[in-house]
Amino acid sequence: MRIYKFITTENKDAIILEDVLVDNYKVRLIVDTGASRTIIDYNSLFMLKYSFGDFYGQTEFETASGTLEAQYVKIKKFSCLGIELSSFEICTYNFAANGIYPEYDGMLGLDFFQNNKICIDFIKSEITIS
Amino acid sequence: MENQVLSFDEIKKMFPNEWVLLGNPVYTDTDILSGIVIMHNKDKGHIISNRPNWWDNFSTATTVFTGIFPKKRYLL
Repeated sequence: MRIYKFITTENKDAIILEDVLVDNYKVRLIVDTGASRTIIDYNSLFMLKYSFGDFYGQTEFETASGTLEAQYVKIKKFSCLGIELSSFEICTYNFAANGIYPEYDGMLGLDFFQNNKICIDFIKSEITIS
Repeated sequence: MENQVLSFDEIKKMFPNEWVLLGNPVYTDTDILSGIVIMHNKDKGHIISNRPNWWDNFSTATTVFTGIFPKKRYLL
């Protein structure tokens, strides 16, 4: 069992994880337990050695504000909350081109948490994973 | 200042309300503590479009904002 602290957005309505490594580049992700897939801004992926050639396929994201078109990319090494995944397939989307400049790089979806047991304690701002 | 490790408080004072690409950042679960400034700009897009090659000189990197994001923004 491992315990990690988290911070929240200013409105205290979303969990932000600071300690996420995509290959060797640290990103900040929102924990989105309502999302089936993990999605990362492809501008953040460009800060690594990823390029358009690494993106493939096409998928749609249903959000409360409409449908977004995203692509897939396989992350060589994805590390978060003490879990390290190789060749982790995520979705990527151009946040900036759509006028989104958030303080985070993307969202951590349920695909990451598969095969794990998690407990989110909002009072202590802690995630326990086992 | 080249390759000088600065605390995040120092970085915030030197580059207020800017996006900063940091090499070898030191961080906890919840905070950025320090790092080496590689590039900084008011516009995050400027840093991304330059796509600086940090990986030859640093083992890790991150891009952080030194200001405060506006409140009353909600996630959908």
